[in-house]
Amino acid sequence: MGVGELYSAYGAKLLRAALRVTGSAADAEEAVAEAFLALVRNPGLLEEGRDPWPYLHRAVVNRALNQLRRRRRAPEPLPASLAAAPGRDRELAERLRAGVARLTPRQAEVFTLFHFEGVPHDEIARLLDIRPSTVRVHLHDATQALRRDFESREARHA
Amino acid sequence: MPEHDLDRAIDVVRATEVDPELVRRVGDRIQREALGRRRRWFWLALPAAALLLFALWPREEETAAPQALQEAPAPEPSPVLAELRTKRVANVDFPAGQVTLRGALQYVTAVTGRKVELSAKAEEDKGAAEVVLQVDNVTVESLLQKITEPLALTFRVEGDKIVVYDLREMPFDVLAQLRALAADRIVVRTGQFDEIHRVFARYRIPHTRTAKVEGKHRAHAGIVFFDCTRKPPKNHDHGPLRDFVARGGWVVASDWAVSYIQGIDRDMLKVLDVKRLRGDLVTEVTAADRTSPLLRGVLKPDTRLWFEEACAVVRVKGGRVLLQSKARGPVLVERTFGKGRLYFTLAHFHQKRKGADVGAMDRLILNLLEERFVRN
Repeated sequence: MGVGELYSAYGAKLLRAALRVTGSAADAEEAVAEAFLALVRNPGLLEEGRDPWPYLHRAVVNRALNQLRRRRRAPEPLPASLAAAPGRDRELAERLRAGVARLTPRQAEVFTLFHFEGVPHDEIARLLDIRPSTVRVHLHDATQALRRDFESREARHA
Repeated sequence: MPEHDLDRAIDVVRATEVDPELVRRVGDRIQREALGRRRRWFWLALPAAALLLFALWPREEETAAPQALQEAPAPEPSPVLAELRTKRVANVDFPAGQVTLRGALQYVTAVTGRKVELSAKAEEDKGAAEVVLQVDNVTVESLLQKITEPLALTFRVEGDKIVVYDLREMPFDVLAQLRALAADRIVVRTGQFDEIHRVFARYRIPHTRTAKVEGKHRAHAGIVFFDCTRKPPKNHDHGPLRDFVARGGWVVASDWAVSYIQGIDRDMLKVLDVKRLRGDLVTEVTAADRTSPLLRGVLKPDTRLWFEEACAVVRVKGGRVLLQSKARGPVLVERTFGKGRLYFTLAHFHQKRKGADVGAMDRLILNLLEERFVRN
């Protein structure tokens, strides 16, 4: 399957995943384009005869998380679906993303797969090649960290 | 409630949907950049492909080679001919009866792109070669005589010409047997100052090169050549090599590798102080013992060998001198030790200086191998 065909099959889903992580259309575009161009440079990244989805999904989500961690610039215009959301929802979403950016890479990966993409525990374990119990531990730790982050902000704003 | 806020934030993020316009734009970008990359590769690869095509395209002289040899099958392309392009001196062997001398020399001309002429020295050798040769400065086109004996032609690059410097009979029937030997039968202990592997490469004789002769080498070797090298350390154990020779192995050492010979048998010769010369010396060598089979085809009138400036000058004690030189004394010394033999040559195996008879030393080495593996 060529890069064009792969993009036709998975491009929209991958862009949505990247957009949910970064909250920025430009960052999402960058993450997806980078992942596909890496395949152009090195087609061997995809093993012959294997389902390309796990690789593509991880490649895009990890690139999106990297974009999120590197982000130091002023907030960009929000996508249409978020721009229409009430001001408080937008603030909550940005706070969540800022919290995810502070998680460990593996916690962030597990958290976004489970909560943003709705991937079940077993599937995450398969994607990341770890045990389901480890997925649950990462998810628990990530949620606790984010909860503490939200609580501290609430306390500061109270 | 903070808990509620986190859940709400997750719900908001999960509600994010992608704009179809973004999907199209990113798709276009990937296609565009992937195509641009292929185009870049194309333009980068184009000059390389052109160079490769140019390198592989048959040259006029290369295509002319078979025509020059149409009187006989073309000789198998030899690695020596490749060496001839870059080295000052090289040998080429042509089996008897398969090619005329003219064809052989035209082949060299075609390969090297240079005119081949015969030197006065080559003209002197005509008797040995049984080939009617013209005098110096006559181009080879006038030579039509069929080669009746196996020959080795030694070439030298002089200016823009390649001169046939030496014609020498070589034991090609023996060569075939030597080439069939297993590589571990001939061992070369490499040294800093000599390169016998070049001689073996010229005649395509299999051999094993090693910086240290170990048990695995002695177990299979019939002969061990020691390139001229630095002295071994004082605590070097010569016992295993001594046993190797006592059981029937041969050891041949050039110049300063004499230390290894002395380590095996102190009664063969004594090393005197190094006699410093004013530069290297290419000088005539003569037979001290004409009965030795090792000297077959080696010597001709005024056969010259090269000696390094700081070569090891020796005095013979219990050895038999086969070759000598007025200027440097004993040149080739032989000694029987147990069931084996020791040989010491003051001249290097690889005769790389101008004026030295490369073919003479080559023939001597081939004779050594013939004696060791064919006649013994």
